[in-house]
Amino acid sequence: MIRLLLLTLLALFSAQAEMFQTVPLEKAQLLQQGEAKLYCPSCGMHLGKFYKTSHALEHEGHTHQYCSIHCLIEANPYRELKSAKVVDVTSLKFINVADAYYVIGSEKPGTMTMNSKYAFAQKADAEAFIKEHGGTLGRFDDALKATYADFATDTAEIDFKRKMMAQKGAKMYAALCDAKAALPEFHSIAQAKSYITEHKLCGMIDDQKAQAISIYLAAPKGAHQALDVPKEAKCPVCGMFVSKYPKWAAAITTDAGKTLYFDGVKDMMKFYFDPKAYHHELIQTQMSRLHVTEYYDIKAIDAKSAWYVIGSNVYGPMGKEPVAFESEERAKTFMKDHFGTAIVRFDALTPQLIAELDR
Amino acid sequence: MIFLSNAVIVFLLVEALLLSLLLLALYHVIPIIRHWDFADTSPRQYALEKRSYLAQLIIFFTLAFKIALLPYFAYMIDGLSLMVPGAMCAAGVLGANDYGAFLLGLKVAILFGVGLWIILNRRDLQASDYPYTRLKYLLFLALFALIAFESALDWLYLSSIATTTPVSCCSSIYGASTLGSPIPFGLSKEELLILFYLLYALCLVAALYSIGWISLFANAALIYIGYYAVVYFFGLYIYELPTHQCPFCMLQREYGYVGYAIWGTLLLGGFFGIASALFAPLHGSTTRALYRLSALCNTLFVLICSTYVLRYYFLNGVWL
Amino acid sequence: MPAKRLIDLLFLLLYRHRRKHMGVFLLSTLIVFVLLSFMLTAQSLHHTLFSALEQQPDFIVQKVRGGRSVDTPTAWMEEFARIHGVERVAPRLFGRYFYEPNETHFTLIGIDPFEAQSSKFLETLVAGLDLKCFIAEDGMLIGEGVKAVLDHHHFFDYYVFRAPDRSKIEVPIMGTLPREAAVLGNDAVLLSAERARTILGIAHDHATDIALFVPNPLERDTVRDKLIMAHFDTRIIAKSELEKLYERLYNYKGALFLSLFTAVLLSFMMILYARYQGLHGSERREIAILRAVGWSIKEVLSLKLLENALVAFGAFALGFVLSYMYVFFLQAPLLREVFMGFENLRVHLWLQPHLEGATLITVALLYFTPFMAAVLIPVWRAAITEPLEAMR
Repeated sequence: MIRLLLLTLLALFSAQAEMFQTVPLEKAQLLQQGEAKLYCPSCGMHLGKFYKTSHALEHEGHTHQYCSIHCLIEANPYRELKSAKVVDVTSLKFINVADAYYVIGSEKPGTMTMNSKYAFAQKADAEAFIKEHGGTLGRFDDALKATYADFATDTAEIDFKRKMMAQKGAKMYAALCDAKAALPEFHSIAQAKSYITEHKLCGMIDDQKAQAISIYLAAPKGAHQALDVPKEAKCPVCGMFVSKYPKWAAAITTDAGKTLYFDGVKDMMKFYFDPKAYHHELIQTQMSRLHVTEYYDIKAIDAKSAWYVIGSNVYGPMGKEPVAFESEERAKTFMKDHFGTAIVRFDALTPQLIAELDR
Repeated sequence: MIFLSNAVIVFLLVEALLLSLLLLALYHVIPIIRHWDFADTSPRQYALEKRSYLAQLIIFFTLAFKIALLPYFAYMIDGLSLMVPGAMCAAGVLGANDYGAFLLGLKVAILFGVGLWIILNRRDLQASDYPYTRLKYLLFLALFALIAFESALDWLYLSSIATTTPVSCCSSIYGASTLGSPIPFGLSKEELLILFYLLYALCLVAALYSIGWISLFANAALIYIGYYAVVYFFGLYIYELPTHQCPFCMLQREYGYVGYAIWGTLLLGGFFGIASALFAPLHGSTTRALYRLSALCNTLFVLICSTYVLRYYFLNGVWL
Repeated sequence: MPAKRLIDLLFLLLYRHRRKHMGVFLLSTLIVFVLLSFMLTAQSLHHTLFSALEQQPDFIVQKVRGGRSVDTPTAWMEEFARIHGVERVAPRLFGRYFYEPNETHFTLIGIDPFEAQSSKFLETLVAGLDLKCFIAEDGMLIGEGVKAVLDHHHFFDYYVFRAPDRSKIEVPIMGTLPREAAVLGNDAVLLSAERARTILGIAHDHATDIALFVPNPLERDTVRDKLIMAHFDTRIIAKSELEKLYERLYNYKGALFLSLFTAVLLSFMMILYARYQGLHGSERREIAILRAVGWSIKEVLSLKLLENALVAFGAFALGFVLSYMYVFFLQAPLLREVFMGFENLRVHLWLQPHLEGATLITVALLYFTPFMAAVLIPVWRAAITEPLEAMR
């Protein structure tokens, strides 16, 4: 399964490989207007490259063309999709989704998904396609259902790919692009991509590099750094030097802009529950930002949105600790690998639970 | 693996050399034990007296080196922790096979014997009629047997440290996660501390009033309780870490090698205290000096330990 | 006797018997010098090597086939990047290129400037490159050793590599590697990933091996288990194992040297013993006079021991100073070769001053013990000299 996934996704991002979805631009119908019309407004991918899976939707007089049904759903979460259009693989023309016959899960790779969906105007064409490449026949509703079913895993997969691409993109941007040029704020990958190609910001680069750079440019900046613990910072709860154990550091920043460092989630919580016990005249609402260190990446994440694993076989400098993760999936993996007993959110870190960890 | 490190080679080499020197001494000691009679004026007794000079010269120097070799042994073991998987410090290396822990105990016991011999030798030389000559050479015989045994064990121990089998590190040997309280007599930390300082006070009193049997008892108890107090209380302040309980990590550079001072003063203080009790029946200035040395070493030990705790409190405003 | 007088007497005795002591003093100095030089060199190299190792990735994964490592598919990289705890995955492209005219090897290192680099060192090196220029020219950066070889054969601007597919590839020389790059080896050639692939015959979807960085040391064992489970045809090399391997190798060399040195120490003892065994007439007379004026055997013993101790300590101090200068100022000529081994193109590592107290103690033990063992009996023999006998 993983292999298949890898293959399809490799195809997704590799410019060299000849892909099933691709058609020459002159054969493609572009329904959307504007400077970014060549790119999917949701993911920024080239519409010629991913033409055969394209969908389009008109909303308030503007038509948006998406590379896939996944992007269509992602960009229009609460909208009625019955009026959407889809490309007929045989004629390469847009047809109404209501008239389309979908082949779901054929061996031909999909776009933004590991479960491909191709649409045909004629039922016979679809059946012929199934005969050759497998898959099941369905209507738009079935395709939607399948897309929703895979949405979470596909999104996670895409995020992972994007993260890897963004790393490369950062290096490419630094090396190839005019780094001094002032950039507008980008709200989507497509916007960034059309901007850098329009302005020839990075010289002549292929679509793959442009995609990587755009993903990097559109990604939120400044996130995910390790906590910068000053050498002399001491934990107000136990008095230890925090910088000695940077892998467990946690921090509370107050409204007044002061940051207190702790040598673990446990001590931070103790302080958070009762700052007065540690001679600080603060109340919880004045502690505006709480950060903890992610176990896997050793990077600071927001404490209130983190996931915590309790009861694992991993010990911090203060013994048993809630171990922090940025996603539930990571927490689950950790719990399995390290025999944790529970996954909890910030609100469930109660004084009783913290006290129990010390026992 | 005997070629584990330079230190191992040096250690074994030096030990072999010392053992052969002791063997040489043994050759001279046996006739002395058999025929020593200070009242005798025969040429044989005269020759024996001369030989005795050589024997005690060799034994004295060899044993002095032997004392220096114990900290070196600790250092060597500590260095090996880099090569034994899982070991963080000497604790893991000592646990690498069955000989380790016993060997360390034997070494400390021998050190006590060595100390006794040196004091006895001193007393013997100070007196005009060498009253303890036979006694000190008999003690030497016992020591020689122990040292030969120890050398054999050293060889066995060092050659059977496997560099592939993982060992448990100090945190799992002394860690808080082990079942039940590791502190003897089910004492709490506070009770342990009270007992520790009380024993120290008792040692001081015994030294002040030269009460042999109290000194013997109090110092032996102080070594025992002091060990636990350092591992389970003072150590936390040395490591500045409330979860780290280990008697060996403090021997490392990160902690300024303070472990050598702590264990050194504890053992010396205990030794002088016990020795003073043992030599009390002999009277004389040596015993007074021993009491004084015992009090000095114990005080140093308690001062070093307490300073860590107080310093931590003054710097951080909290106890661990 | 007042201390001042005793010291005067000591130096007087040393001076009077200077010829006898001089030989021992010089020999002892030599012993200490050799021992310490050896230890200091070993330690300094050890120090440098470990700081270089620090920069290496936490794991290297190689594909093996029948025990031989073969090129590793780059598709694995993504798979490994999915393992939680792995922060960075980087392909490594390197191999040896046989340079026939000199019968030496160059180590070719391919870098893709847009990928993560396989060591922190390469990372900083690449960050310092003018990438636009590097990509446009597609040239190479060469180590000092390679430069010397190529210059010798008049390849000043370029060199033509021969690829396994019989094609000839001309690569322009863009410059030499900076001095700090000595850890990469003097025989390093840095060039673009594509070039390296062609010359080394590595397919475009393969790499020599794959480097992984795991920032949290607590997670390394788990990651390792997952790597083992991922594929059955791999060899996984952990940095911690490399460290232990190097440590053992160094210790092995050191221990071998020390074992051989034992023979030297034994002869040292014998020479010392023989030297002190024979008592000069004048020396006998001195002792006899001391005894006659009321010194006891014990006191004569201490005097003689002090005399020898002074020689021993003096030699130790001088030996220490000399070896320190030899190793750190003169960079230990000859001796360093013992550790360097046979390199293809010599690596020139600078020995950085680095001294540990434990080294001094080790050498002290190894030197003072035989010294003491050798002098005790002669000293005793001298001290028990009968006054009457000596006066005769």
